[in-house]
Formats: sequence, C-alpha cells, structure tokens
Amino acid sequence: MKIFSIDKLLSLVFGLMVFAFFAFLYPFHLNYQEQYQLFLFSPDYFFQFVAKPGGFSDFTGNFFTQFFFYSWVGAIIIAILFTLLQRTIWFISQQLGAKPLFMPITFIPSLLYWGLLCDENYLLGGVVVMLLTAASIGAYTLLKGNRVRIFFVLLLIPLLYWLVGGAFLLLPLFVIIREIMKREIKIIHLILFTLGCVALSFALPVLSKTYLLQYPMRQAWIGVNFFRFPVIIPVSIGLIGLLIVFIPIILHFLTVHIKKNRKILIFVVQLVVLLSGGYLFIRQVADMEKEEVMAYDFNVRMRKWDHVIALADRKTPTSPLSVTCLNLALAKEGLLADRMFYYYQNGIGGLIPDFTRDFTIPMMVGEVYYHLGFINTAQRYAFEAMEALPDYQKSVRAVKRLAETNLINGNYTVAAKYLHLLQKTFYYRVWATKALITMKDENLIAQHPEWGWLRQCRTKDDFLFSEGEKDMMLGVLFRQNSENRMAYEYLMAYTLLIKDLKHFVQYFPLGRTLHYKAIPNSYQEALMYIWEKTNTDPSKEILYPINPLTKQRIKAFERISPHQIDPDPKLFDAFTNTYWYYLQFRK
Amino acid sequence: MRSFIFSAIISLILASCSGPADIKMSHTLPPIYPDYIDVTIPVNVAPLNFLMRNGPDNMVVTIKGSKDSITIKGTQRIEIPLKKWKALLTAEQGRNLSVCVKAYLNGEWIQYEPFYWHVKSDRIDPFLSYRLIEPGYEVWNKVQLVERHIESFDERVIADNNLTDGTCMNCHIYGNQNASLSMFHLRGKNGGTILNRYGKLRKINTRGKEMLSNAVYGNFHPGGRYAVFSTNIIIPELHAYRSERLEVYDTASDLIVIDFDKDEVITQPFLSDSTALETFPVFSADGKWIYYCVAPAIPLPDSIKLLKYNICRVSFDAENGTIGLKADTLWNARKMGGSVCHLKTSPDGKYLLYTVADYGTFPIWHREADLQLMNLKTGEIDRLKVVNGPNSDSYHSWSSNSRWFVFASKRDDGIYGKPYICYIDSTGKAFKPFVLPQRDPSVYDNTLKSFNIPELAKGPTPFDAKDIERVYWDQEVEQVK
Repeated sequence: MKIFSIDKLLSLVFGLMVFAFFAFLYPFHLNYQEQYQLFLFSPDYFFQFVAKPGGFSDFTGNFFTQFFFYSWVGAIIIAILFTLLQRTIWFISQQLGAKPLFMPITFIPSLLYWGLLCDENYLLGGVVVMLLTAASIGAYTLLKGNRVRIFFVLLLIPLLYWLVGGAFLLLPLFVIIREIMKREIKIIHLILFTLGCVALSFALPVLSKTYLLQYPMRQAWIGVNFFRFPVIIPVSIGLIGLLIVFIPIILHFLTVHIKKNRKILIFVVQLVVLLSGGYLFIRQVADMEKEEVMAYDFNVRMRKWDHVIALADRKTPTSPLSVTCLNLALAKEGLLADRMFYYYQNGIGGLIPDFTRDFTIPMMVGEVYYHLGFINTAQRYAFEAMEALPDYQKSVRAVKRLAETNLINGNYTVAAKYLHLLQKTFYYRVWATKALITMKDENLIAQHPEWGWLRQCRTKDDFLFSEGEKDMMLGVLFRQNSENRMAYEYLMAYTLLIKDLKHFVQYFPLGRTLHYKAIPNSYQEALMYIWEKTNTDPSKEILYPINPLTKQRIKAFERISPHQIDPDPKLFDAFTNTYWYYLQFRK
Repeated sequence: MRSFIFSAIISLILASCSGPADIKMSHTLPPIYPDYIDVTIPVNVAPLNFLMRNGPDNMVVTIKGSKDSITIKGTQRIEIPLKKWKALLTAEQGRNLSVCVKAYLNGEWIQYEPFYWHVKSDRIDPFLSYRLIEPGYEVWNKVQLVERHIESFDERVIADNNLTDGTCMNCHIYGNQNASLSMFHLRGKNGGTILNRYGKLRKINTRGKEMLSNAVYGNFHPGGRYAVFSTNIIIPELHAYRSERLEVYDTASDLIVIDFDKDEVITQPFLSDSTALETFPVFSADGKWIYYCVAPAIPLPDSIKLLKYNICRVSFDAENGTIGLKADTLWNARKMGGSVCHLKTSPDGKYLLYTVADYGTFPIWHREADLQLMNLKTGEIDRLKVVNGPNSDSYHSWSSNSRWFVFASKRDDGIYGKPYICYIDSTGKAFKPFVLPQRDPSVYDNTLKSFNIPELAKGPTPFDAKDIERVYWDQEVEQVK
C-alpha cells in the first residue's frame, strides 16, 4: 500500500478524534451552546436571519447547534464539519497541484477552529462560513475558461457576501493570487478584474449598510456572529480564513520545490508535529474547569440530581456555581441538611449566588429559586439571562422556564405563547405539546409532580423580593408552606454558611413541621458546637437527641482545634466533612 | 364549445363569489383574533386582518357596505387587499360595515353571526411611533424606536440601539403630534436627550446643577420652545406574589421646565423639594398650565401601597418662562382611592386622559391600571369602562383632532403590551377600542416584544436610525444650564 493513499484514512481518523473529544471529554460545552439559542422551524425565523449578510451562516450554525442537545450528535456534526473543511482545503490544494505528501498541513485550519470551539463563546456559524468560503474557492478552481472563471467570481462575490458576510473577501483574494500565478489572463484584464473585485468588495458592505440594513458598519463588514459578543472582532477567525487561502498556495510551492527522496521523512515529521502540536494546543485551550461547571449545570437542568452528586463524589467541586448546583441536588434528594458539609462549601456564593447581569449565572441561580418555590424570582432570572445574551438570540432553556413559571402562576395565555414557540423546535415540541394539554386542566397541574408542588410553595402574601435579605425571604417562603422542606433547609444552610449560629438556633425549631426522623447531621454538629461553647455545667446533657458519635467527635475536634491558627491539615483529616471544620477554618 | 367553456367559467366565478353551499348557521360570533368585533375604526386605518382561533381548514369573509363589498378567502387568517379596503372605507365613512365569517371546520361550513365595523370619517393621525422592547426587568437587549404608518403596514426603524452601542433608549414623544418636534432620551456614554426640533437634531445633557437626575418623563409646550420634565430617582423591585411583577417607584422626584432656546432649566422651589414626589408633567393644550402627578414622600418601599399620586396643576407663563407659585389639586388620590400617572391633555383642551392604578407610579405592571377621562371644564370623570381591559391599560397619546387616542394595553396576556386605538366622539363618548392591525395578525402571538409608549403623529419623523447613530457617535452633547 502506498503511503499517500491514506489521505482519506487520515481525514477519518481526524474526524474520529474530533468526535471523541467533544463526545467524551467536552460534551457539556455542547449542551451549554444549545441552551443559548432558540432555533425555530418557521419561515419568519429563517427570513429574520437571511435578511442580513452572513445571516445564512448564522442560521445554518444555529440549525446544527440545536442538535447539541445530545452532545454525541453535536460531536458528530462538528467532526463532519471539520473533516469537510479539511477535505475541501485538500481538494483546493490538489487543484493547485499539491502532492499528497503535504496533506497533513491541510488539517491546520480545522485544528485551529477546533481549539476555538473549546471556548464556549465561539459559535458554529463561523465553521459554516469557513466551509462555504472554502467550497466557493474549490468551485472556482474547477473552472477552466478564463471568462467563465472571471464571471463566476464576479457573480459569486455578492452571493457569497450574503451567505457568509465579510469572509467573502477570501474568495477574491484567492482568485487574484491564483490568476497571477496562472498567468492565463492578460495583465490589463487581470488589473481590471482585480479593480472590479476590490470595488465590489468595498461596495457590498457599504451598500448594504446604506440601503438595506440598520446595522453598524462593523457588522455590515463582518456579518456573521463568529463570537457570542458581537463587539469583539475575531482576529483568530481572520487568521484561519487566511490559512484557507494560503495553505493551498503554499502547498503548491512546496510541491514544486521539495526534493522527492525525503518524502517519507517529511510526511512523518508533519504528522508528528501535527499530532503533538495539536494535542498540546487542544490541551492548552480546553477549559476543563468550565466543562465541570457546565456538567453540573446541565445535570441540574435535566434534573439528574443523582448525577450531580455522583460528580461531586468523584471530585469535590470548588467553584461557587458547581457548589450551588451540588447543594441544589442535595436538597432535591433530601440530603442537604445531612451531607452539605461533606463537600467543600464556599459560603453563600455556593448556596444562592447574587444576581449578575449576564446570561450564565442567572440561568443557574434561577434553578435554585425555581425549585425553592420563588417562582417570580426564577422567572425574572430566566428573563434577565435571556435578555443579557449579547448576540440577541433567545434561549430555549429560558423560554422553557418562562413557560413553566407562567404555567405555575396561572398565566396561561403567556405560557401558551412560549409553548407555541417551543412547538416549533425540534427537541422541545413534544414537551410543549404535553404542557399545553396539562395546562387545560387544573387537576392535571395539581397532580404534576413538579408544577403541582411548586404551586403550593408559592407565597400567599405579596412582598417585595429583597436579594440582600435572602434569609428573610427564605423564612417568609417557609412560613407560607411549612412543608417546604427545601426552603427550611436552605434557610438553615444560609445561617450555617454565614456562621450565624444565633439565628440558626432561632430558626431550628421551625423544622418541627417537617417531621425529621433524626436531626440532620450538620444541624447536630451545629447544635453540639453551640452546646459546648455555652454550657458551663458538665453534668448537664444537651436537650436535643444527638448521635453519640457526634458527641465524641466534637470532643476530639476540640482537643486539636483551639490552638491551631494555621493548622496542619493532616490533623483534621477526620473532620473536614464536619460543620465544625467549616466554622473554624473556612473563610 | 366556446360558449360552453365561457358559461362554465362564468359559473365558476359566480360560485366562488357566492361562497360555499350547505352552510350551517351558528348563532355565535366567530372566534377571531384580534378582537375586532363591533369596533369603531377611522376611515384611514389599514385593513383589519384577523385570524380564527378554532383552526378552520378554510374561511371566507365578506365585508359588506351599503354599496360595495369585499370577499376574502383564507385558511386560518385573512389578508384584506389594501386598495379595495381603502376604497370601501372611503365609500362607507360614517356608516357600518357588516363582516360575515364562514369557516370550514370538521367537514362542514359554518356561518357565524355577523359583526360590524363602524367607520368614522374623523381621521386618525397616520403615524404611530412606539418602542419595541422585551417586557423585562432590569436588563435590556435589543431596543428599537419604530414608526408605523397606520394607513398601511409600513414600518420604519427611527432609532436602534444596535447602532448606538447597545445603549438603552427611552420612548419617543411628539409635541402637538408634530413629527418635526419630538424627542427621546438616549442613554449611554455618548447619549443625551435627542431633540428633533423642526428637522434639526440636537443632543442635550438635561442634567443641570442640583438636579436629581437627567430629565425623565416629559412633554412639549405647544409653542415648542419649552418642555416640562420630571427628574426621578427610580428604584425597581420584584414582587414575590403570583403574577405580580415589578414595582418601580421613585425615592425622589422633582419637576423642571427646560427652555430649548436658551438651554436653561426653570424650576420652582416647591416643585423640587423633598417633601413631595412630582412626576409625569404635561402642558395644557394652550400651554398656560402644567398638569402633573404628585404624592407626599413616604418611607419606601415599606409603604409602597400607600404611595398615591394626585393630579395637580400649576400655571406657566411662556412669555417670561416662569412657573406659578401655587398648585391646584384636580384629582385627590385619598378621596378617589387610587394613584394617577401618564397625564395627557387633549389637543382641543377639553379633556385630560390619565391612568389610575391602586398605588404607585408604574402602572404597566399593575393589572388593575385603567384609563380615565376628565372633562377639564366640568371636572366630570369617565371611567371608560368600554375602553379598559382586564389587565394594565396605561400610556396613551391623542390624535391631533382629539377624536382618537392610542394606548398601550396588556389586556391579552398581562405581559406583552400592544397599541390599542379608541374613538371618542364630539360629546366625549368613548367606543370599544381595537388593536393596531397587522398584515399578519399572528404577529402579536409570535412576537416577544412589547409595544411601549405609543405616540401618534401627523407625519413621518424627519430622521431615521442612521441619523441617530451619527448623532450618538459624532455629535457633541449640549449642556443645559
């Protein structure tokens, strides 16, 4: 078998590597992407995109991104797109006479874009742009007649501008270089053609800005939302675009100038550099900490509480948002009061983080408020998260939550509005249809395991929600429904996390209505701690039924803790999962 | 053979005009959206396209006047041809149009009870501007000021925050319904109050010395030289209860007049002290009075439900640019049991239209908020029962002939505001309002935008979004003294 007949095999291997990375190592980034768009199968949605330059690519990118709901499907899509991009560049290179020897170089643009997609704010529309641009260049290279080529390019430029936005410039750039290299067109014609391309290239964005669009000039030039923040000009994207143009040309020259007897060595060196460089590059750009937070968030979104806890059991989360998700999962599984200090706790920031004007934190924190029964606050957080999306998209997750909150609140007309929108989506259609049916019958809502319960948890009196007084809000919520165990446990967790033992003791008796079989662990530890600190009579026993083991452990803890300003962690190995440790050593 | 084909074609045409055969009569009104049943419409309004909520396979609608009629076919909605519609309305002004709806549903044709459109020869000002914005809380995304031609479906964006660094922009208001006299506040680092005065655009920093804030709610003097504003410290808070949403209130607010010729702020100490909260000021039609809302300052938010605004007025001397020293109370909140906002005097000077909520100063999220009409000569108050809906009815604007007003209503779903148009006859009687017609009536179902602060104008504004972009980025801000 000739070594160079393996080019398709290499593409396949590359595709499989991309797939494996996104499917198994980086899946939650794909789920994250999916939630921040609302792809609708409706003519209005389509025309809203294609009415602007580059909108088609955004539309196609969004079309693919909706399938990221299942990350393995998303991984397949990304793998196919990157492989197609590489194959197209290789095709162009071949048209320019490149030999298979240099085929590994054609992987570089796909590899670099792979790295970009490791950043959750790079959108898939950009890959579509690269692919369409490369395909246009490829189509050009197929044409033989001089006139045919010139007219094809002049006609394709406006179309390509509309499809891919400012990236259309790569086509005339390639064509001009290529025609100079070919020397098949008279110089005067080439100059005229070049001038025509330049004029057209400047005229299109200016004309579209002047006559068609109310977009800033910058957007008229760039068109596509490569990045979620449209104000950021994606230089890296520009570099990848230039590689699409220059790699085939460079390969052409390399083919001409490299000596034949070093073929295998050159090929192997390229492969080794590509593999090792690619590995180091992806390792460098992949943000596994964010992936972890996204994993927590996705499992919370899917209500897979046991998965969340399992994640924490494998590796204790430390970021506030991961801890927030973990605490929510513990509460939903009825384990918060027992086990919250088994894991790292970072104060209130890991229980109910404060509101921020972005699209990530409110979405996650809104889950906590929703499951607590603060339906209006959850609604606000979903709304604000969607409004904070910098690329003006809608969020399918936020719309779903808005449908739920309005349904729970009995605002059926508004809920129906959101549900009808979701009926135009691929993955949420069935859910929305079921919700619409449920909404028609109050009994069905009451019997719904989540909506029915949350309806009971809502406040019966009006008050203005004060984020600065979360404990007070939790107290009011629990007072409205004394069976809302989660509200009680969050209230208690709040006092424990801010080390406010005075209020802990004050609120503790409220839990009577919840009929715990035994006092939860963390409460026992707090009660014991208070007892040890306040009891002056050694003959007296604490009034609460405390586990004897807890009594023994606090004695052991006290023996080593009082004089340790900067304690040796080893001493406390046995106590890191206790409230006492948190109280004493966590800032 | 030729005569046979001709006869067949004629028969087909006649059959299609006369509508379907074997029709079952229904004694109910058709379930149409928007609710255009028995509404009063101006002669110059765009076609009242509507859809059927019960999802028929086909529908035939016949709009019949005394001389002519239009028949339109559709599946679940109809789109009335604009030319035929205009001709029909022109021919039938002052008379009623009957609307007969037949729908093919579950394998049979049903003919519903006809309803009527009362065509008034009084024209409505043909342009309407509004702000399109998601009905959010504190974060905004895409905000546009849009001008709609009421006589057709043409829409034009006159300001777009996509062009102005994503900054927030407040609603666009006209002076005397004159498109050459208008303004809105553009926030952000390059922002200011954009004043369109006879075609010239200015960008003004309206915050003078010792003012609480930039100018907020405002209204032009009929002469165009002055505008009256409130300055407010605005606090938003979230209700925890059921469908209650936001409560927005002022912890302090004052009243000022700006002289745009001199760029000077005019005020009166009693309108800018801390004992009272003044807001929503407007000039009377003759410019001699300033009407405004005022409430005594109380501890907020604790006493929010006790915050109730009265209507007062104070004289204004346009020649000397001075505000009077004494205010009269026209509407006493304590006695009337509510809180007033959004005052608007009718251009003929006869009426004051305003919004009443149970409490507070932000009625758009108060479901109970309703419009009321005060006869300024007699003091009589019409609670406009035929006009108000089950949810918030709030901001409003008069047509220059005082026969129509448009107002923002959340009656459909409680969240998304839409512009409703209402007729008032010469005796002050109000008629059932109708929502601004759209080419595709399902627009209101699908949009996630609210139509905020609808304002009528006699003509198109002389600027567009690109002009505002230029003013925002390139024009120097002028400072009031």
